Order: sequence, then structure tokens, then C-alpha cells
Amino acid sequence: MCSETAMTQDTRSDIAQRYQFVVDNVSDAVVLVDAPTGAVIEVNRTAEALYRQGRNVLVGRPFAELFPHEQREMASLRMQETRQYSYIDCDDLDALALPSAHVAIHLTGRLIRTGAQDVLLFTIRNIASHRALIGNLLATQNALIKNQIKLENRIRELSALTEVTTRILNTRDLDDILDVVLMAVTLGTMWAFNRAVICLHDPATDTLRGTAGMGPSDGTEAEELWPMLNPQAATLSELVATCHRSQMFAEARVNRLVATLAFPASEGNSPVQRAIREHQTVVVPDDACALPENAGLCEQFGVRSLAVTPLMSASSFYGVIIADNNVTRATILPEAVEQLEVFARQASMAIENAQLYRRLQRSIDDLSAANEELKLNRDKLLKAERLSTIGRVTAQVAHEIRNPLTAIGGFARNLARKLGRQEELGRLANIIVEEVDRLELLLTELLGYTRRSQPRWVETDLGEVARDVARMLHDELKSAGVSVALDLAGDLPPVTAQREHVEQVLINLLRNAKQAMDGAGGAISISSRAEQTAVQLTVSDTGPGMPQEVIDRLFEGFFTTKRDGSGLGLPISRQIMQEHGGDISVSSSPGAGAAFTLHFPRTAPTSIETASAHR
Amino acid sequence: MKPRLLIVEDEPHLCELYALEFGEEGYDALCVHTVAAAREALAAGPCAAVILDVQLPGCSGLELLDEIKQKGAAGCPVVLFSAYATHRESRAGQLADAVLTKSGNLTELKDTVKRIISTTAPPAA
Repeated sequence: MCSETAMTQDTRSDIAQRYQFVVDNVSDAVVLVDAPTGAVIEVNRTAEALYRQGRNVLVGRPFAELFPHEQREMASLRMQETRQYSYIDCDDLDALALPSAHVAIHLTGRLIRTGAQDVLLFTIRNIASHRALIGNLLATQNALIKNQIKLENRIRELSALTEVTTRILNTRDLDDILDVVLMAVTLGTMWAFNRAVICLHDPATDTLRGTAGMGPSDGTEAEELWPMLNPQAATLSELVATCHRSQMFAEARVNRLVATLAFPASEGNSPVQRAIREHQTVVVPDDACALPENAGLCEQFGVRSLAVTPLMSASSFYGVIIADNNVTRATILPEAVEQLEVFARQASMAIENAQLYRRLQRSIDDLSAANEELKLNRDKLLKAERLSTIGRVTAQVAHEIRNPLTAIGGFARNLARKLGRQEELGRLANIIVEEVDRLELLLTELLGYTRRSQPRWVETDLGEVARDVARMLHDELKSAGVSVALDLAGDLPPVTAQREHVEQVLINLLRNAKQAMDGAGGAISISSRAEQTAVQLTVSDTGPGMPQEVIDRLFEGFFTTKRDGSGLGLPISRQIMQEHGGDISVSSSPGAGAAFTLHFPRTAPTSIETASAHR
Repeated sequence: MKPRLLIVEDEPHLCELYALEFGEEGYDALCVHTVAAAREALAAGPCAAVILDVQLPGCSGLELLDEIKQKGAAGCPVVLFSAYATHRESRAGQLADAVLTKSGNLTELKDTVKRIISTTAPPAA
């Protein structure tokens, strides 16, 4: 009620003035358009400012003319839409300010039905600064994204580097180290070299020799090799796991190049020697490949440009890495050289580690071996000492027994001779004689077992020993109807042996053979043979042979199949052969004779325990 | 005349055995038990051969061997008859005319004595 009263009190023009003030001072341009004709019927001050034209020019013009030519169709469409839908809101149009400036705008349209005629009310907001802001924002965002990508790449590079470093430093095997370094230099996307070769220094000849290489030798090989690289392999470990040098590059021609590489380390002025001398990477750029000091290496690698970096630690020099872009012919970038140097440093440390480790391992092995040998020798010495004591006691006892035994045997023989005619007593006396003979044989062999003169190791011709023994026993064997044939190799190498002991072994074997064939007669043959590591002497007979159960016990002490055997001949023979670092073996079967083979090593027994065993 | 044989052996039973066996072989066997007694016997008259044990009480048989061999041609042949076979390889072994290991079978000893007496010039008579 109150306002109605106020309204009536105010004049209409007052109200119109007030509205005009408000409309003129809103920050958006306001344009009233006659809906049926599309002509502008009113604008506010802000619109005049936006279009830089006066009201008198703007009013009466078609609405579409407020827009640039190319947008007028769109503007007409927006006007129609406003008529049709009563409301539109868009910001895809520009206002055409004088003389021809485009100003980005936000446009809202509203249909107002006033009874007499429909009017379209458009408000136009200048959003040029807004647009610019968005543009700036977008540009900033793009820059940020680019930086982020760079950063991520850098992080990847660094983590790969860390990985390579860790991997290299944890590797003890030189081959593995070289593999990882070569891979790091040539395989990943970040490394700029197509091919790399490592030459290691041989201090003995002061020469660098090609040791390992990686990378294709030409485009054809690159087409074969590069697709084999697992593109999914994100880390070097995966890369290393999927493409091992030995598998991937086994056939690669880079190996042929590696095989041909040999450089003197100290003499000359090629990039290799310069890198060594100057302790730093030498890069040969394209335009320097023709220089005399560079031409040789460039030609060898078939490139115009390459880089050589030394592998060295503070104290030692190990070799060089030579890297190039032989396939892509790309320029060697400073970043690539930097990476190469990083890996060269890592590799040097790893090689130093590996060498130290190897040296350490070798020392440990030597020490362990020495320790083992010491233990072994100590055991042998103890045993030898024990044996020596037993031997001395046995010898003493044996000698003490021999005197009474000689008396018993002598008198028994005398008796047997005299009683020969009295049959029964003579037979009994003969039994005493036989038993004493057995005891005497036992004593002789027992003494042979325990009492040995100081061993004299001499270069011995086994053939000669065999001939001597055969001659020595000739009569004895002949009287038993046994013949001896010698089949000795002419070029038998001499062995280091205790000649007398070997004689004793042969005598034992020949007597055994004789006894095996006693009565029936037969043939013995002594043959010799030189093997790669041993010289063999075999005594075979045509006797009745032996069953396995006898063979199994042949070398046991005091085992005998002979009535008058001591059972010590073969055990002593085996002991003698073992003292020679060899052995004695037997092959026989019933009815097929027997063959005993003496095996002598071709090198002299080196241990001292053989000597000490007889002291 | 029977060849005179000096037997130096401290074991009485062995002495008796040698005396019996060599007596039966036709020798004039004289047994002594010590080196000292052997020296006296050698001084008393020449021998065709000496059968010498090594381990003797008081003085080693090897000393006597040395003394006999120092006389050169004036000495007589010596057969070492010992329980130890080692003497064969020793200096004494080289000095003696024969070295045999003691055995109840005296055949080898008898053969050896016979052989060296026949090959050695008889002592100055």
C-alpha cells in the first residue's frame, strides 16, 4: 500500500530517469532489439563504450551488424533462438568494435513480451581479458607439463644410472661388468651411441686388446638387432635380462671387429693413446677424421666420428671404451660423452673391485689349499712316524728271532739228512725244515716291509729294470719250466723311482707267476706302455688265474693261497707303488691267467712324506 | 790238510751248528764268540776263510772285517753272515767277499765258502 502511494506520488519521468541511470551504469552492454525486425531500438552507455559508437549510430541498425562479418549468420541464429526459446547464453561470439577490433564477449539474450511488440534484451559482457587470462593459464599449464616430462626423463635417466652403477658395482664377474656397461652405453633409449667396444689392457705386453663389443655393424644388422630389444623393458635390469650379449651378439659382426683390435698402450698418437695419455675422453668429430692421427682408427671402425674414453682408477689403468654412431651417423653429443664417461668411471671401479676380489679369492684358495696340504702332510707324518716306530720294533724282534730260527732250521736240516733212511723220523725232521723255511721267508718279507734303506729316487728306465730282473730270475724260472718274453716299448719315458724297490716288486710278481704255474710250466710276458700321464709295466702269466674272491683279498696283509707264502709280497708291492704316486692293479679270471699292471706317474712324486716314511 | 775255517759267532747253538755242518763238509772249523778271541785265533795261524757275525758282544764284527781287509793280500776272505740284510748295501758289504743273511739252510753259505776259498790265493804258507 505504502509503495503504491509513493508510486503515484512520483512522476513517470522520474522513474524512467532512474532506470536509465541504472541501465547506463551496469557493467554489461545492454542492447534492446525489436523482435520482428531485428533492428536495435536502444543501447546503454556501456554498449556505446564497447562498440566505440554513439547511440545515434547504433540504434536502428540490424543486430547482426554488431558482429564481425563472418559471425553475422551465427548472430542472426542466436537472435532467432532467443525469440524461439526466450533465453540464450553463449560466449562464442565477438563484438565488432570500431574500426575493426574483435572483442571477445559473453552474450545473453532474453525475450520480453510487452504486449504491443516483443523486444529482445541482449546483455553483452566484454570477456577479452578473461580470455587472455585463460590463454595465459593454458600456456602456463603447457609449460608445466613440458617441464614435468623433462623432469620425469631426468629422473628416469638418474634411476637408470643408479641402477647401472649398483649393478656394475655388485658384479664380480668381469664379463658381466663389460656386458652391463656396453648395454648401458648402447641399448637404452637415452644413450646416444649405436655401438661400443671395450679394449682391455694386458700389462704383460702393454697392449690393448678388443675384449667385448655391442651394437649392430650396419643398417641391415640394426634392423635385425634393434627390434629384438624389448620395447617394454623399462629398466636396465629388464633390458639386461632380455638381451644378453652372448645370445644377442653371438653372431654379430661387432665380434669380428673386436677380435681384430690391438693397440700399443704407450706408443702412438691415435685417439686411443691420446685418451690414455691425457686421462680423458677424446672425441673425433666428423671434420677431424681425415687427420693422420685419427684416420687409422676411424677407418678401422668405418666411421667419421667416434669417442674414446679411458677406463682407469686412481692407481691403475684397465683399458678404453670406443663408441660411435656407425648406423645412424648422428653427431656425438656432449650429453652422450658425459654419459659415456660416467659409465667408464663406474666400469673402472667395478673392474678394480673385480680384480681385487679375484686376487683375494686366489689368496684365499691358495691358503685353503696350503692348509689342506699341511693337514694332509701332518696326518701322513704322524702315520709315517707310527709306522716307523712299529717298523723299528718289528725289525728288532725279527732279528732276534732269526738267530734261534737259524739254529733250529740248521739242526733240523742236519737231522733230516741223517734220518733220511729212517722214514718216519726223517719226514718229521723235514716238516720242521719246511716250517722254519716258511718262518724265514716271513721274516725276510716282514723286514722288507718295515726296514728300508733311505729311499734313493733316481731317473729309472723301467724297461732296463724289467730286463735286469728277468735276467736275475732266468735260471730260477727256467728250472720251473717257465719262459719269459719281454715286450718293451723302445721309447719308454724314464720315471723317478726307487729302483731297488721297483726291482723288488717285479721280483715278487715274477715269483708269484712262477709259483702260480709251478709244475705245469708256462709263459710270463713283461710289457710296457706309455700313457699320457702314466707309464705302465704289465706282468702277465698263462697260469690258472684267480676267482674274484681271491682277487679281492690279494692286497690284504698275510693273505696267501700258497703253502709257503707269507702273504706280504703283494701288500708290500702295493705300498711301494703307492709311495711312487702310482698303484698296482690286477686282472684275472679262472683259467685265463693273470696280469698285474704297475702304474707309474710320469711326473716325480713331490711330497716329502714318502721320504719321511722310511726314517 | 783240512782247510781251516774261523767262525766268529756269539750264539753257542749256531756255533755248534756251523761246526757240525762244516766239519761234515771236511773243514777244520774253529768257533770263537768274540772279536778279541778271533784276533787271537788269526794271530795263531792262517785261515782259509772267516765266517763273521756282525752283532757281537763288546766289539762289532765290522771292526774285525776292517782289520782283516787292511792287511790286503795277507788277509783272508771273509763271509759276513748276519741276521741283517742291510749290510749288503753298506761299505762293509763292499769290503767283505760275500754277505749272506742268516738262514737254517746253510747250502748257500757252504757253496759261497767253497767258491771263495777256491778262487782266493791260499794264504802265504
